[in-house]
Amino acid sequence: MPILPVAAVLLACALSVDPAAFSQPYVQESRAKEASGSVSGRVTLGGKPLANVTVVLSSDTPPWEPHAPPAKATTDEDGRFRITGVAKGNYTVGAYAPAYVGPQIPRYGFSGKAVTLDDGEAVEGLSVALERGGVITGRVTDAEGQPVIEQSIRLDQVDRNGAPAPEILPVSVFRFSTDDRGVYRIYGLPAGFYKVSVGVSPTDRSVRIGFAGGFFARTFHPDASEAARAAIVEVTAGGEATGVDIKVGRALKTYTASGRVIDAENGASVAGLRYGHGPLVGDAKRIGGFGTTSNRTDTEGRFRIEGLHPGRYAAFAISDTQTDFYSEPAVFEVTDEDAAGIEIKIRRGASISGVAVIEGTDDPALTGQLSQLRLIASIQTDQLAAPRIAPANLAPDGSFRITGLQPGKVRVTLSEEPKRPKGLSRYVRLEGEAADQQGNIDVSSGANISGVRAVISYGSGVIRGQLKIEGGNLPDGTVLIAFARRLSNPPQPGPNIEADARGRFVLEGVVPGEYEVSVIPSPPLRKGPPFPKKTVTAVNGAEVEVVLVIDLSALSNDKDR
Amino acid sequence: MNRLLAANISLALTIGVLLCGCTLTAVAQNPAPAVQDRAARRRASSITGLVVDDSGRPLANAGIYVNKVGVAGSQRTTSTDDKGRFRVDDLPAGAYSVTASAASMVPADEPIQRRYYRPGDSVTLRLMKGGVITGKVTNSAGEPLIAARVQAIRLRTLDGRPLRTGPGRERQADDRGIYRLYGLYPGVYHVVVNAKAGSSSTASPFEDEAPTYHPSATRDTAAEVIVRAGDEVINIDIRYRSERGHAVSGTYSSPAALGSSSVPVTITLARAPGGAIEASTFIPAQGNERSFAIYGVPDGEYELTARVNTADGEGAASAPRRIAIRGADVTGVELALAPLASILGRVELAASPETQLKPDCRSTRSTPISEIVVVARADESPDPRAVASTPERPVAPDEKGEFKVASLTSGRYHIEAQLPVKEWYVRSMTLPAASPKVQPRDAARNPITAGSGERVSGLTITISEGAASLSGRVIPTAEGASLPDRLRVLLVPADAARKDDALRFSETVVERDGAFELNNLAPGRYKVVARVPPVDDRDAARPFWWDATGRGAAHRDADAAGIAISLGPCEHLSDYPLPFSVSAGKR
Repeated sequence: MPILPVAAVLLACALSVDPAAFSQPYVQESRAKEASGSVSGRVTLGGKPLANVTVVLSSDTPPWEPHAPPAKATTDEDGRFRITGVAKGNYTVGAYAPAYVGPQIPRYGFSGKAVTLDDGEAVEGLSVALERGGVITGRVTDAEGQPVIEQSIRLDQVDRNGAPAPEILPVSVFRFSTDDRGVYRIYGLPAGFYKVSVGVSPTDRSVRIGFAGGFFARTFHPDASEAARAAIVEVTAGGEATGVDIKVGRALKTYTASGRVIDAENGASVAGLRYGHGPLVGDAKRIGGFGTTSNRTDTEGRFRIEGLHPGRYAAFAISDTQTDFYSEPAVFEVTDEDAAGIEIKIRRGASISGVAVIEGTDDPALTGQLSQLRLIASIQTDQLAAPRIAPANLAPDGSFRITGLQPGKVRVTLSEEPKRPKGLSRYVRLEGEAADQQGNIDVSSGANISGVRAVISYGSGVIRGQLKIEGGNLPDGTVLIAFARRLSNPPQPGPNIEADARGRFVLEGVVPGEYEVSVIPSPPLRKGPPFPKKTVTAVNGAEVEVVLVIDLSALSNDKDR
Repeated sequence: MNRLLAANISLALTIGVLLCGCTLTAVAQNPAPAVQDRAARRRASSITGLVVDDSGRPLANAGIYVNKVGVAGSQRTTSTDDKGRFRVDDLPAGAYSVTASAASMVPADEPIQRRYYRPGDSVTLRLMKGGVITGKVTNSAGEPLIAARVQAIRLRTLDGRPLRTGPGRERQADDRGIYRLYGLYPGVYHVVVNAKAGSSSTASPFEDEAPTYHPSATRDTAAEVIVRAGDEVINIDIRYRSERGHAVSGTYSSPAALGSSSVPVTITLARAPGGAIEASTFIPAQGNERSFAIYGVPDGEYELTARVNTADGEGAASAPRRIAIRGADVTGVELALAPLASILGRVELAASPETQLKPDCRSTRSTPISEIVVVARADESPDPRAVASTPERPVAPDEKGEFKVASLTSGRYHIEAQLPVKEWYVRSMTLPAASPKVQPRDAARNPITAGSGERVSGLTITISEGAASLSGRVIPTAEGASLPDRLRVLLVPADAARKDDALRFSETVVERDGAFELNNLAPGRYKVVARVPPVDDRDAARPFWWDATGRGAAHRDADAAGIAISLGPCEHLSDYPLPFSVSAGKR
């Protein structure tokens, strides 16, 4: 059997995933005994009842995490459905109808409406309105007329004149690629205008690593290298745009960057280190999405990054475990030849050590998990900084030591792996002489700061909200996201959740403190009223209620929206 | 030019697999002039090659992956140029795997044993267009099942070798219910919708439902689909059954050796018997809660295992738990992760004991011992033709000759050493005995038993110079007769003292024109025979000499043929005519 090449595609912001999720226990409990809630409603297609469609009630757990299969029902002749035996919680209810377009942006593949359900509650009259989706299909060929295989198709929604449209597409870009004949077929598209393209662009802000083989420069239908010259494809509801072919040029030449990792103090080469690279963005002060393979520097400290497209990059050493060193990123540029002789310097970093505590609970089920938790430090600095991925483990007594810190402001969060226990705040407050008001510590070069208290907050407070919409209606497809912001100094983001069709929301696991509760529409309104804010005080183990009134009278006078 | 460098492709010692077309005549060369030396060194740190399709046309833009054996994190990648050529420079001494990939294509030949290459080698890799299966998926009402997840499961090769692979890459049906699976190896397949292994992690409303096989069947009644090289098989329609499956759930516990911190675990549900993977699930690190659940499993007998890959490469696995699903969920299964086993040993280069070697009998270049590849093969298969379920994890000795094969599930293993040069042969393979009074154990004849978490150490593989080789042609005794398919040439030790020495048995596949070639042979007396192997071990994923019965049968076949040869140290017998009686070779 062939050994699969080590391969990975890392996209920007891969490290900042923050599931504002309340995970459902994924081993299904006997629903019948404990859960008596229900959800019912009706599915329509173009206003007419849609029979025989599967309606899914899914929890907020992402599908790649362990979860129970979603509860489901099939609509009857009249488009009606009813799902029973539902436990209290936050759900998304939607029709599984991939070729149709729903009013909402699908979450993890299910388009639907948020439903916040209480114990034994029956939510009725949910309406799920679908429209027929459109199809774009065509074939991608290369300069020799040969099929271009297994390439993702990218769609950009535009207006009639080709100007970018702000809508977020309800289809995943990564799902559709060309087959062995170069043929692709994208379905479930909202009616509108599109630019269709294939290939990579220097502005992608992501890196492809560990892949060899042909890559093509981004090319738009029919054969344009610039978006401005792309032909605009119109899709009608239920219609099919055919012959949307793309002719790409020759495969892109790729280049290699190589060099050594050396110890800045003595110039000695450093063997056995992992390394990575990423494109420079934002005035070359930041590394965009970065990638690493499992490759390590050889016995002479040499590294080699293969398959690069022209562009400006930074290369750096990276460690998945705590080390005493940090890496200074080495900036390099690839134009039309390999880049050699790059030196990545590593330097002895500062350290912070002390004891971590969980604040706000004595529950041994949580305090006993201290040794399962891991801390991640990030550095805020105006220098170019290499990403940090190494977690610091906690000993059973909570003691910790974070090493290899680049000078700058150190902020500590809880690692999401293993999954952060419910109720524990992501942000960790550092306390001690060196800590500032915000719970961060400024470290200077080589400093060893000990005696730090790392406070992990536990929250079991609940903010139960009700939105009241007055003076009009929101545009179709708009959802409202309720969120809480902790009024600490500086304010910290708290939990957020989509308000359900009845305007209800429940924010759980709230750490005690003062919060500003507010709501924002998604997608954002072009013109809109100021959305209300209210301040509440959350207490562990208790619920606090809040009512927010949204006055849309200004909006309803604005006819062009 | 030193022809030897070009000829050094991996020689599998124990199974004499095909060599490249290089002639094996050169033994010694004059020292190269200094100017050529630099060029030779550069060559000696590069692997170059060519990727062609099955009609010999060069393939441009094929991806090339070069991995150093036994060294994780050493992958090199490149692509072929317009003429199908590639070159990977600056490779340290060692053995390498070289893989070419191009979208929708598959390797044109699937050797049973992986081949390894050394710096200085030139490699030709052949790819061909993979097969295609296409059809339509509908629901019970006959409407298209849009976005249905379709996968092909390769059951066996076209010549009947069973495989234990799970479902292959998932493709989704389009809005018309039409799917298209491509890039398929030739073979016999099942096509399945809603399989529980190898599928994507996007949400599906069918997670709790059992897979449906073409045409509208459970696995037991599924129709087979035959895909020949490059074929497009159409109308493989599937009517989805929408049958509820059952859940298997339980907990897993980590061994103390892994510490208290939690680690990601993969749970695999394999059909029993057979070992085909029915379902698998990846569980991220979970903290104190260590539970798992797999949904949508059809009735049947299964083996459930948990496996962890740790950063140090040692890993842990649970013993397989046998479960039966009969119309109800199975709960409370407990899987205890235990450390995996490892085998530690050393390769020694020893002077040839048979005789003083002539000067021209020695290897002309100083071959690093780290170019040897050591492979542990599990002696697990009840079906000798079946491909091992665990992937081959080759290792290479360090410069001192020390090696370690890690992450072995408990079981019995045969060790193979694949040698980089034709001057070497494996003389012995021993494990220290429990008591110094007892002879060391012959680890070539007897498989090594590695218990859960056990570190078997002290394996010594002794390599000597002075290997012999034998090449020639099988000639039918009857005028005009043609040779049967699957013909092999066997070498069987003729010395009474070596009669049962597993390292002295050798076998190679005979080319269509009758050519054969056996290398890295210990000097000595042999019986030689051409035979069609017993049906049971065709393709020899399990070499016949692993068992005393196989060795005995080989002796009987060789005795019946009655041909003996003697190979001296460094003797390279070529153009050897081996008579073959077509009637005698038939079984």
